[in-house]
Amino acid sequence: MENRDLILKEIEDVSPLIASIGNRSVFKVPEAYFSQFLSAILLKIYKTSMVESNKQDTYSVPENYFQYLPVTILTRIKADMEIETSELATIAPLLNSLDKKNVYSVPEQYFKSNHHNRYIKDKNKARLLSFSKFSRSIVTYSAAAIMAGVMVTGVFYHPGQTNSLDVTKEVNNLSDDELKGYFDDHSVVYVEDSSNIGDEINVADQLKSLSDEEINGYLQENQSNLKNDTSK
Amino acid sequence: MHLEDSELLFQFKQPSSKEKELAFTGIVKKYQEKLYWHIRRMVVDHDDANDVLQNAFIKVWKGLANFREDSQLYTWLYRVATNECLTFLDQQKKRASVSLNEDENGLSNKVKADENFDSSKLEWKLQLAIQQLPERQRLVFNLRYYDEMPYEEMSRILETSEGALKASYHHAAKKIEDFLINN
Repeated sequence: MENRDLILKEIEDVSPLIASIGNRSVFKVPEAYFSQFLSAILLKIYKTSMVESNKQDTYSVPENYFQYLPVTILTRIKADMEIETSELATIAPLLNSLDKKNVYSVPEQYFKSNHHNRYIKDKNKARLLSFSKFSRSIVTYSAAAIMAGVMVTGVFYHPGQTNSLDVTKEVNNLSDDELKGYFDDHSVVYVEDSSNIGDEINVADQLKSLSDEEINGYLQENQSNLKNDTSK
Repeated sequence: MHLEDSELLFQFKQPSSKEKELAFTGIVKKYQEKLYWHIRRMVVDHDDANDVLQNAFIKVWKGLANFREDSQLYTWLYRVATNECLTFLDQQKKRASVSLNEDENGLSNKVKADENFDSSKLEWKLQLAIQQLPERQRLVFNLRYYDEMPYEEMSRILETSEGALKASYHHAAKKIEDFLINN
């Protein structure tokens, strides 16, 4: 250690008060602390080394694992890259043969220009549209008018309201010639019964064999069915 | 009678574990008191000083095989002990900031809590004054005033220039004097 007098003189120059106190320690240590410290520290080192050796034994790695790990990883990366290449070659050989070079270009100095910077700045900022008091009242009244229009139209075009047609009455009003003419024009009818799908019945031929009374009687008997059909 | 540091280091680097333990025992016996007091002045409480000293010697045990002898053994031991001290004090500060009950100046309270504390004695007032200093200044003052360490060695331990250490020591002494006069 450096000369004690030199250090004492140094502190006397800076602070005679501190120098007068002296550097004797005021703290005390427990009795026999230093004589027992060595065994305490050796015991602690022994325990620490035991814990560490136990830690090491918990898991093990295959021999030379870390030596070959970089090679193993590189081999795997290469294999993955080859799989990617061969996959595209199988799916689209022409696409695989093309160069991935970018064909698009941007104006010179575009990314350094103010235009680009302004674009980035504007993109990050949400745009706010402001309405004047007048514009707001126009929008409010327009919305109210549209709603009223929708409601009025809805009343007239309500799905429950359909114009019904009294078919029986209408058919009865038709003359025999008009009926015959209708059936002549619409001679082929597809029967909806699944068992007879594809069978075609020539209604005109069938009707020719029926009398006018038979037709009227049929229409009166099936009046309700016809009514339902037309309402659908 | 203690062996020279170079002999202890040579003995420690022998393959025999018995030689190694003997060398380590020699190092502990030779430096335990110096390092203890260096630590104790920084952390104040004996139990804390004991913990820090044990941790420091465990670090020494683990690191001594790789000690390159660029510096003297005792300089290296002081550096290990100082780093352990600073780590411990950092942990204490973190705990104090988490715990709302902890006082702002825990070290002064620890001084006052010492069983031999006597507020009328100037030596104890000096201890309270030292605890008011910033950590780095406290370290410099203790190493110079109590351990009587040359600035050159302090510079190696604290990795600070000798000029800066001298200035720090003078500032610390002035602050302590002010505290002693005003309290």
